[in-house]
Order: sequence, then structure tokens, then C-alpha cells
Amino acid sequence: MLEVLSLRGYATIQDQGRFGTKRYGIPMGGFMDIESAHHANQMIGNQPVLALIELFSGGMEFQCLKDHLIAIAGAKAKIKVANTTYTSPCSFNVNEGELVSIGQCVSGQIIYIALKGGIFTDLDYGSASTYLPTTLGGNRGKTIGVGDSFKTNESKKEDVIVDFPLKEIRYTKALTLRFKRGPEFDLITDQSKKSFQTESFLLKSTNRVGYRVSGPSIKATTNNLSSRFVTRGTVQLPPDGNPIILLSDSPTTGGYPRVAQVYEPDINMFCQMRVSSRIRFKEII
Amino acid sequence: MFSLFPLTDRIVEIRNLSLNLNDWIRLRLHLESTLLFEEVLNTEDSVVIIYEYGKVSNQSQLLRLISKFEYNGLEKIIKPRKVRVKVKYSEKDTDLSVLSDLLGLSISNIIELHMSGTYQLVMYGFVPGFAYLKGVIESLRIPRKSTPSYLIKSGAVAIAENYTGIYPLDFQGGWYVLGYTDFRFLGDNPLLPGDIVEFLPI
Repeated sequence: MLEVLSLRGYATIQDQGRFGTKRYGIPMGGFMDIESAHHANQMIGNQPVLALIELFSGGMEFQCLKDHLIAIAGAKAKIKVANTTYTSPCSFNVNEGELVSIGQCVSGQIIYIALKGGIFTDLDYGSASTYLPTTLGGNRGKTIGVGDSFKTNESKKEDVIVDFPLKEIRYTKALTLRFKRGPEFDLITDQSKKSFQTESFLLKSTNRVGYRVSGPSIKATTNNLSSRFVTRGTVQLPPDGNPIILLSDSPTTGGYPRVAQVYEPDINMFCQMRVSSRIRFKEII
Repeated sequence: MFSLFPLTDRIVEIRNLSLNLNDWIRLRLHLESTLLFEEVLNTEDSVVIIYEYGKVSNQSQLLRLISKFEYNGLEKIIKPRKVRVKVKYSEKDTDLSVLSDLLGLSISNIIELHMSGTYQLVMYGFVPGFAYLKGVIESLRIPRKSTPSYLIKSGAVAIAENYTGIYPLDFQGGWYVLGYTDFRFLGDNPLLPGDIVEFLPI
């Protein structure tokens, strides 16, 4: 069991998300940077999809009320455990009563904190992934706050750190996103098709629903269609010409043209990009 | 002519200009009944197939399944359920007076036209449990607000274009609100695409 003592970033419980709920308009949810979340779990011998804490921008302190084996992956930050300092990705044992303090992210923006056994919390539709608008999943569907405490699924002490390779990921301030044409790609005007693929875009805002970019205004011949299916990686084009890249809490349908679908392997790295990073789009067949 | 549009490795959208909503619902049921997929969804003009993780879409298998369905002549019959939703229409916290100006209809006229309609559930989307209900009478149709309202309250019964719907939670939105209801779609045995909704004033 651990208790949150202070928190600056935005933290929720996440796992692999929900399956079979799109028919009711319930988003899949789940990890943003799937690769890093799996990595955190695997470092301590967990199943890769167990529920863990997803923390945006860093800045969290918690106290362990029991002995725990913990792994931290994703964005790079300084981690202080009792009197030892680590840099993520890392895994370590914490004794009962000791504090763990996670610094601000110095590279990337999403940190994953996994506990041996996975976090034991509320499930809705089979998933612990917190979805705020309808308060689904872990921590009663709310963001994590000071004073919240979490249990793990296993109670016995595990002090074996699995010899799982430490994947150090380098996060950059510029990224090229490979994409395939979306079903409404051809609604983009010819001039804008060129701009979309040759110019760079500034990352303006980032949250679990999607990331917004701005750059050359991308014009479509129409922006209002009947609502169609959208998912993680879908690039929507609203009338203001600034593309939105939908991510893990993407709604299930949307009425803007789906001009592109980001190549899945590029999405995890994209999730780690911070506001004011540079993005380019490159078509792949 | 059916066309298949892969969105990702495991998500395929099926389109066909000559199908209507009921055809799409029947095709969805047909594909669901094969138990080959994680989920099959319909929109007003498409069906979307989601394969389980680790599986990759198989276009020739899909085309075979669809053509078998065509051969059966869209015969699968849906027996729609029907619910009557109680609505409190009033000018309080609604857009009725704005709508009255925009549509050139009296408020009582608007209420009468909305409550006398029969609506078909097309799909869920936008936010969890938001059902798109199709069938708004021509004279009530209005485009979405150009600037969405910052807050539409939970339970709001609203219209836009050919659709009416119920906001299941406090959320921003661009539809015009006519009244409020306690009815929510998500619960035990939720209504599904094809089911019928009517509104009853209280």
C-alpha cells in the first residue's frame, strides 16, 4: 500500500483499456505510451498490462506503507527513494515507511509507476483505466490526489528485480509521424495536401483525448460530415484547419474529416512529446 | 459495390453508397453473429470491424462474409424494441425561445413536432451513452450551433440536423436543448442501433 503525499502532475490509474464497449460510445482508454507502460510492468515481472499509475509531467511524492517492489519507466526524471537517487527507467525495493519522490520530467512527459502485482482498484467494464467524464475505472474514476492510497494485488514481499533490459528511450523535440491516408483525405484541398506533408506543426496542447497541433491552416472542402468511427491515431480536421491527433481517450465517433491515421508504432513516442515540440507528417503506403 | 477501407491493421471500415441505415444494422448483426471479431459497429453509412489484438484484418475473408450476406438479400429481420421517454419541455435552461426565432415556429409547435416524432437509434458516440436518434421532422431541422455551448446539463434533450439525443452527463455541445429527462441509455440491457425511441411530455 502506498499513500500520495504531494502531487504536481496529472495522474490517473491506467491499464490496457476496455474491449467491446465502443458500441455504447465508451472509449477504449488505457495507457498513452503503451510501450513504456509495458516496460514498467515487465521490469518487475508483472504481466505487461497490469494497472499502474500514469503521471503527466512528473512531480509526485508517496510513502510506502508496506514493502514494495516498484518500477518506473517512460519519461526521464530523477527518482529519490529513501537516501538513494535513481533516474528512470529504474526499479527498486522500498521498505515500509520509506518515501519515494519523483521529480519533474526532464525528457518526455509521461511517467509510468508500476508496483509488483499491479494496483488493485475499481474496475468498470473489465478495466481499471480511469475515464474522467463518466468516472469509470480506478480510484473511483477520479484523478489521483493527495491522500489517495493504493493497494497491490499481491501482499507478499517480492525482492527479486527481474533482469529485464532497461530500454532508455531518447525523447526529442521534433518528430516525424508516419501516416496512412484516412478515409476523408481527399477532402483536403490540393494546396493543403502539400502543406500537410511538407511543413512542420507546433504541438499546442496535450491531454489523454488528443493532441492539437497548429501550423499552416489545412483546408478541406467540407468539415462537417455525418459522424463516423474514430480511434487512437486518427487525425481529425476541424474547420479551423488545425489537426487533432486523437489518442487513448478518443471518443468512438467524430464528425470532422478523418484525413490521416498515424502509423501505430509512432504513437507511443508522439504521446511523450511536450507542448511546443515540432511535428511533421509523412505519408507511408 | 462494397469498398473496404483499412483504418489500422486491425480496424476496417466497410462502405457502400447504396445501403441505408437498416441495411447497415443488418450487416452489423450478420457480421457479429460470426463471432470472428472483437467488435462490429455501425454508423449511419458504414460498418466498422475491429479485430482482436494480435490479429490482422483479412480482406478476402471479409468480402466473402459480406457477399454471402448480399446473397441472402439483406433478409435478417431486426425486431426493434421501443421505449417512451418522459420529457419535461420548458423554457427554463433550454433553447426553446431561440429556436422559435430561428425556425419561425411557436414554442408549442416545436414541442408538438418533437414529441410526435418516432426516432431510430443509429449508434452511440460522442460521449459514453450518447445515442444518436434519427428522424427529426424536416421543419425542425437546424444546423449545430456555430459555437458550442460551454455547458449542456445532464439529461438535456436536444436536436441538431436530423438527430435528437439525450446528454448523459454535463458536457459542452452544439445541439439545441428543448427539455430535460431522467432517462439514460446506459443501464441494464441498453437499447441498440435499430431500436425505437419516442418522447412523452410531462
